[in-house]
Amino acid sequence: MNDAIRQGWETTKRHKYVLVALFLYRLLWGFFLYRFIDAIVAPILTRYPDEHPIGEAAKQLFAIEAQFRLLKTDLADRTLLMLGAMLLLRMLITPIVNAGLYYSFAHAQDQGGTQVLQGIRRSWKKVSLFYGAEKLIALAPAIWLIPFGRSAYLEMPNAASWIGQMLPYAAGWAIWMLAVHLPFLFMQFSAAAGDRPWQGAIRAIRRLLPLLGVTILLPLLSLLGSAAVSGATLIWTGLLAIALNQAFHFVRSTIALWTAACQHRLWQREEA
Amino acid sequence: MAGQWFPKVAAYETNGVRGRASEGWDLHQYHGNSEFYADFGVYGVKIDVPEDRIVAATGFQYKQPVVKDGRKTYQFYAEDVHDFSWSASPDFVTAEDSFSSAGVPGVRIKLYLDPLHAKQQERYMHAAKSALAKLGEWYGDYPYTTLSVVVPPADAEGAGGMEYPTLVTGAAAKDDNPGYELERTLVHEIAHQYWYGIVASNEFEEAWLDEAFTSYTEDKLMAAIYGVSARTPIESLYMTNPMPLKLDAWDYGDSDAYAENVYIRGKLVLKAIESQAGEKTMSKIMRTYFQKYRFKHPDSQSFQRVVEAVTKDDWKAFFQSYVYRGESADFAVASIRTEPDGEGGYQSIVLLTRTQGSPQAATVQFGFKDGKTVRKTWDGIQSHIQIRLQSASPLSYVAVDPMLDIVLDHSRYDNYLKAEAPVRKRTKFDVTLGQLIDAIVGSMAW
Repeated sequence: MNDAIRQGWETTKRHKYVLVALFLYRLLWGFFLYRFIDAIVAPILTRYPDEHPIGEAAKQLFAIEAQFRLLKTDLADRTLLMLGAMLLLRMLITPIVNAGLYYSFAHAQDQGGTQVLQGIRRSWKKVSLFYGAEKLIALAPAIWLIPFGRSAYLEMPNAASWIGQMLPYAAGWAIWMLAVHLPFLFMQFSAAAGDRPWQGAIRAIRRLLPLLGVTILLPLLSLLGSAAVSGATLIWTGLLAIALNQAFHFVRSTIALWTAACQHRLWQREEA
Repeated sequence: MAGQWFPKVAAYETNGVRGRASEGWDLHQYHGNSEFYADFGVYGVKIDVPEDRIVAATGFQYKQPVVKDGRKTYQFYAEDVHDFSWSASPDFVTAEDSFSSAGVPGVRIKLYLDPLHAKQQERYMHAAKSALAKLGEWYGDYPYTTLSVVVPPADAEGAGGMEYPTLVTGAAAKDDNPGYELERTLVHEIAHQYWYGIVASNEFEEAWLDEAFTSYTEDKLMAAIYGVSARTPIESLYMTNPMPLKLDAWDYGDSDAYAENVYIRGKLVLKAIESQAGEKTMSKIMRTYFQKYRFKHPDSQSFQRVVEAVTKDDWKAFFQSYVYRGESADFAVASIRTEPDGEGGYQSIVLLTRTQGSPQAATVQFGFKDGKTVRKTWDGIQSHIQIRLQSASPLSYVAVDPMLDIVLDHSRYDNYLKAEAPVRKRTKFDVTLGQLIDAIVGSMAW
């Protein structure tokens, strides 16, 4: 695993222009996302009755009204639709990036520059197919889980016991997503390299332990950093916090690229 | 439980009943969402059941039951009622007591309980007597000589919590020692005797005249007898879909919209009248309405006329907004601008709006950064008002109707507004939510 991480880092460095492009792409998204979130957060905060003359009761009524409106009206529909559309758009772009990147990873030993554009041209269709199939299978439990969670919420006396009840299901779903992700990721690697995809799935199972290691450890770094950025807003406010928030896209992009490069090294190893 | 068990004749309305220009039948098919409307009559009913059955029914038994060949025949008689229902079970635990008080000339109260509630006899009897006593005192005489209470078993829940003339069903017995829902259901159904049973309005076309009046009376009874107070502000916020009250029951769309408007919002309309007219005047309104329209099938306008006669005031705009159009009072603080006035102090401009509902005065509280507060009253006649304030310190927040006096304001979040969102919290939420969404999206896509 250490080898893969080290070699993955080399590959990442080799793709520094891709990294910059990725960072700018995410920065742009981040800018719009920030505006989108702020347009929801700011009005709620100006309406939140924390200085209201009747005190605590006003806050409770605010929470109750919010719950009634969220559950009984279409208040949240537009926001959820926008978030869903944003996710969908990014998911449409992703397999195209994957195709280029994974092809270029496979030719990392070649002379000359990175070969992202060739990769996109050659394998975007096949990679998209596997990426799409993976997401469909991974997200399928939502059809059952979302209505289940909703009706459980209506039956539970409070939010804490609902979260307690939902936790095992959420964990189960996360494990399911991971279990679907790894073989399909290797199938995408194989498809991008022009190999037979089945071989990829078999390799993923054979190298499961180191693969799990990089797939969990590196993004964990990203998550910790994310928590640190959120935490920093307790100390700093205003422009500094916002700048840090946006700059963190660079860290997140680097770690994402590095993770993919490490996973690809693990896929490659048998041939070397 | 045998309710709606015989072919019922439609109500025949004479000239002038519920504002009719010419006499005729009030014809409606059966609707799942709707309840009763029928003419008053005299009922004599023979009920032939297996010998071991105990029978509860509308009215009273005018002959001893006849037993023959393993069968038992009960004979019941009822007058001045617009329906007849009965119930039979070999398991009923029965109890009987007489009761009289001011407004209750003399009634036999008969309990027919599921055995699980045999030990709750005292609670049922106490609730029935107290409810009758209060209703007699508040509105007028209970004109019948019996009141039967049937408590169905757990698996007959569908028959629970229902009103018929001189016979009501409590909530089904599921638990051997239930909370106040036992009393609440029972006093609600007994209150129906006055509005559904005696006043008897048209529940196909304006169900609120029964359900809302009964729910209003139920809250009054629960407070007077058990000291249980209503949760009016929460119920008001629950009204996310206010609709007209004078509306055919099936036109509400689904049963939730029907129940919310006809039971809860209608009750809140009565509470709003009470809060504007005063509690004393409101009792007079309710008593006058009952006295004037007992056995007369009144409509929403009949009630409006009583409100206007008792208060000697014009309630047209109120009834138009809340009864006929189904509006919310909807006061709001639309915007705040606060800035230095150039002389060391601050000038603020506040825009208040009332986008729906009838004219009504509202208290407005202004809170300043230095902790000072100022209260003013807006008459609420126009649909909006701009208020200018000079102060030593910047304006921090404005709250319209801070003491929750306006019962029918179903959106309270917009009654309060700060001059600006707190910067630190705003950044914190923006960044944290941003990081969270980024992490989720980033786990699935570039």
